[in-house]
Amino acid sequence: MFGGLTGMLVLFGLLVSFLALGTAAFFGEVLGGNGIALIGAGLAVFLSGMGSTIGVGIAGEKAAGITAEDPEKFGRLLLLQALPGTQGIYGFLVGFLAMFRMGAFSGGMNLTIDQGWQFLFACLPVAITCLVSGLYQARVSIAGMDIVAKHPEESGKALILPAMVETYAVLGLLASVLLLMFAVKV
Amino acid sequence: MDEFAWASAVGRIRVLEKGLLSKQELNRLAESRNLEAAIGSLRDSVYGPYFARLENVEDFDVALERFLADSYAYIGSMAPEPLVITAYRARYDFHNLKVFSKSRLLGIPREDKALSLLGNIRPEDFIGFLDTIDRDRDAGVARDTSLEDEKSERPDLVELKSVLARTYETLKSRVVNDANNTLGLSPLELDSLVDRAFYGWAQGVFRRFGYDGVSDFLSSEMDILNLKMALRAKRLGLPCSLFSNLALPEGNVPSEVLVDAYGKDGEKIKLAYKGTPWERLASEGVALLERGERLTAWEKSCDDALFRLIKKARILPLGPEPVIGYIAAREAEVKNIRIILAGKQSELSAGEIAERLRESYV
Repeated sequence: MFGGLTGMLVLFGLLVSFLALGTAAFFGEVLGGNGIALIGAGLAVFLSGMGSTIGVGIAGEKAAGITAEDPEKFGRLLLLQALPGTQGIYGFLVGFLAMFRMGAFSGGMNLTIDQGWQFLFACLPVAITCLVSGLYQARVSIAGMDIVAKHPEESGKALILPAMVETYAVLGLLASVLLLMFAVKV
Repeated sequence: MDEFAWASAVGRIRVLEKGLLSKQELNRLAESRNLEAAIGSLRDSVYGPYFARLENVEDFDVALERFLADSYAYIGSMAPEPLVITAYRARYDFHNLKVFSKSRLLGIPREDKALSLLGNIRPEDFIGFLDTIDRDRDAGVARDTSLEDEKSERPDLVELKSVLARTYETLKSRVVNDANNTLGLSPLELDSLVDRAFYGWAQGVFRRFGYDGVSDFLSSEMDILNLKMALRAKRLGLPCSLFSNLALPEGNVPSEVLVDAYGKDGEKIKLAYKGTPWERLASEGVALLERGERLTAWEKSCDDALFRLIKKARILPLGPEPVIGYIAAREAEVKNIRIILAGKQSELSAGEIAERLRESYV
C-alpha cells in the first residue's frame, strides 16, 4: 500500500494525522477544547485538500499531454480531471460544518477538552478517506484517460471506473457529517 | 522514482499509438501488387512525408530510418527525464561505436551503410568525437579536462559520451600491436565488450531512476541475447572460455550459471532457464540444436516473446514504460515494413512475407 509515490503520500497524510493526535494528546491542557477541535477541522480541510490538489494536478498533466496531440478530447478529459477534486470540497464542507457546530462563527467557542476530542475524531473519517481516495481516484482517472485517448466512444466507461472510488469518499463525508450532527454534544 | 512525472508524455503517447499499423494493416500491405503499390499505400500514413521525399522507391530504407530518427527526437523532447530515453536509444550509439572501432582499431574497412542514424550522436559527429578522444590521449590530456567544452551540452549526452569514451579507451587498451601487427582483440570480443558496456550502463541508469519495469525488460533482453548467443556459439563449437567473454552479465539468469551450463551440455542450458519465462524457448532451441536444424524461425520466436513483454506497457497508465513501449513498437513496425518492402522488391508472395513478419504492438 505504501509503495510508489501515491503510497508515500498516503503515508505522509497518516503521519500528519498521528502528529496532530499526538499534539492534541500532549498539549491538550494548553490548547484547550477549542484548540483540539480546530485541529480536527484543520485536518479535514488540509488532508482532503492535499489529496485533491495532487490528484487533480497529476490528472491534469496527463490530460494536457493528450490534448497536446488531440485537442478535440479536451471536454471529455476535463471531466476525468475534475473527479479527484470533489474530495477537497467534502473536506471543506466538514471543516465548515465543524466550525459552525463549535460556534466559531457566532463568537461563542467555549469547548471542554472532551468536546474538543469529539470534534477531532468526528473530522478524521473525511480527512483520511478523502486523502486516500483522492490520490487513488486520480490514478484511475489517469488510466481512464487512456480509454478516452484511444476509444473516445467509450468515454462513459472511463468515467464510471473512477466514480467507484468516489463512493468511499462519500461514505467518509457521511460518517463525519453524522458524527458532527448527532454524536458530538455541544 | 517519479512515475507521475511521465503523465503528460504518456498522454501524448496514447494518442500517437493510434497511428500504429495493426497486424491486419500490415498483412494488407503485404498483399500489395508490387513495391510501388506498397509504398503508395504508406503515403497516407505517418510515413507519407518520408516516402514523398524519395527520388527512388528502392531507397525505402533511408525513408524508414529518417522516420525513426525523427520519432526518437520527438519522443526525446517530451520525456521529463531525458536520460531514460537517451539510455534506451544509446544501443545505436554503441552499435556505431562497434563499427567505428572495428575500422579504427582492427583495420576492418568501414561500411557507412552499417552505421545507424538512430543514435543520440549523429554518425558524422561521432567521427569528431572519437578524433577528440584519440587526440587527447596522444597529447596526454585527461578525459575529464577535455569534457570541459561539453558543459554546455545536455547532461544526458555528456554522461553518454563519457561512457562511450571510456568504452573506446578500454577497447584501445586491449588492442596490442606487436611487430607482426597481431591483434589482441577479435571482432567478436570487441562486440561483446561494447555490448557489456551498453547494457551495464543502461541498466545502471534505469536502476538509478528506480524504474523497475524498464530495468526488468533490459534484464529479459539480456537473457534472450545470452540464450541466442549460447546456442549460436554451441553450433559454431566455440570454447567455453570464449563464451564466458561473450555472455552478458546482468540478466536474470546469472551469466556464471549459463557459462557453467554451456561447458556441459544442452540439457544444462535448459536447466539454467528453468523457472524463467524463457524456459519453453530454451527447450525448443536446444532441441533444434541437437537435431542440427536451423535456428532462424526460433530466433524470430525469441524476438516475438521479448516483444510480448514490451506490449504489457500498453496497459500501464504512468511511468516511462509506455514511452519506451511506443519506441519499441515503432521500431518493430519499421522492421515489419522493411520486411514487406524488401519482400516486394524480391517479388516474394504475400504468404511468404506474412510468415516473416514480427508481432505488432496493436
